[in-house]
Amino acid sequence: MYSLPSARRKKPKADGLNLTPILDVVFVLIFFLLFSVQLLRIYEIGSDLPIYQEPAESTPQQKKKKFELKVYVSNKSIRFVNSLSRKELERFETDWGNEEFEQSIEQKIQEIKNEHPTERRVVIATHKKVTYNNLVMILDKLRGADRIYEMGLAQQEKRRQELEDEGKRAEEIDDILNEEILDERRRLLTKKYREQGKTDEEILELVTEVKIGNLFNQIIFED
Amino acid sequence: MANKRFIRNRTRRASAEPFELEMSSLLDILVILLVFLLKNYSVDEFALKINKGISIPDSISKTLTRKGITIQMSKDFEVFIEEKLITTLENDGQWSDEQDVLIKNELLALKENTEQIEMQSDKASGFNGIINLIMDRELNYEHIDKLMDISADSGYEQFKFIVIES
Repeated sequence: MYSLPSARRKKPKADGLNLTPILDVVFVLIFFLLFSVQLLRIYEIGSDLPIYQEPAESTPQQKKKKFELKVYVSNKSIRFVNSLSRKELERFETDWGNEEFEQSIEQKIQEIKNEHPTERRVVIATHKKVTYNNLVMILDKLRGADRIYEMGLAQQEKRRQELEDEGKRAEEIDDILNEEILDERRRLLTKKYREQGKTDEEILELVTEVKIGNLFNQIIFED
Repeated sequence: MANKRFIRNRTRRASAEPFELEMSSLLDILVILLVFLLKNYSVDEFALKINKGISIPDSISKTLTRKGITIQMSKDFEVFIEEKLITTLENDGQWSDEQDVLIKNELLALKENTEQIEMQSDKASGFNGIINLIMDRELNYEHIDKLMDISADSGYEQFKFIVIES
């Protein structure tokens, strides 16, 4: 039987947002990401040089060198030596885990780098009973933290060649190159500190110390 | 009477509201989890798997790892090459000639395999001579030195010490 439309008849209920397809996509995506997530950030310490190398005097270029850093690492002492002149630069009594000891090592390495900014190579002679953890700490100090790139190797070689063509002696070339690299490093540091908002006085103090990274990153282990 | 009751209940059952699941809070959690996972997602195809029982040292280094053969050594002196257990040192970490030979043979086999693949395909990456050393932090340097020696004898000349971010 036909009935008139009635106001009492219920209005159709509006459909809510259907979240099921969104949930499906999110679940699948989460599973995919969970399997590929890398929570531990893994890095490497290495050198582009072969780990064992011939002695420093072997090539003509290396024959001109007057300084090559060698570090003797043992559980009793850490010694910094110029392996070419066999002169001991500094000796520290080992105290693994002590912050002051680590800071003094770091300071000495930076002093050596300031005196020889072109030098990137270091030979490490490690006693067999030194633990890997302690060795990595020493490698960290030698390599440095910030990656500030002053004059690159290729550019250094080119500049060295130019100075040789001008007729300069080897010692003069070393001195000139050292000064230029130090200047370049100070310039880069000044720019970096300005960007960080430091005052001129602070920048002057920091740059004078030349406390930077990218120190000795060509590591050779003595066989 | 029972019949009337049955008809009444049947109508009620038919008109009962379906149960609705409240999913908005679940979706909130999933979206936050998704954001977190996306942030940690890495598109690098090269991923290192570190075996259980190896606690690698932390370092300030920020150099990313490169593809190479992985040699792992745990504090119990188990030596793994590409996650395959090759040998375990006995007598508190004493090396023997047989173990040298085992490790060297495995490395040579891997090198030969890589070179064969390189010959067959132009797109193969080729032998790069890199060893990624994943060593437990408590191991003495003598074991690292030994592994580097054996690897150098097998033609691998570049060593990368794997560390975690400090």
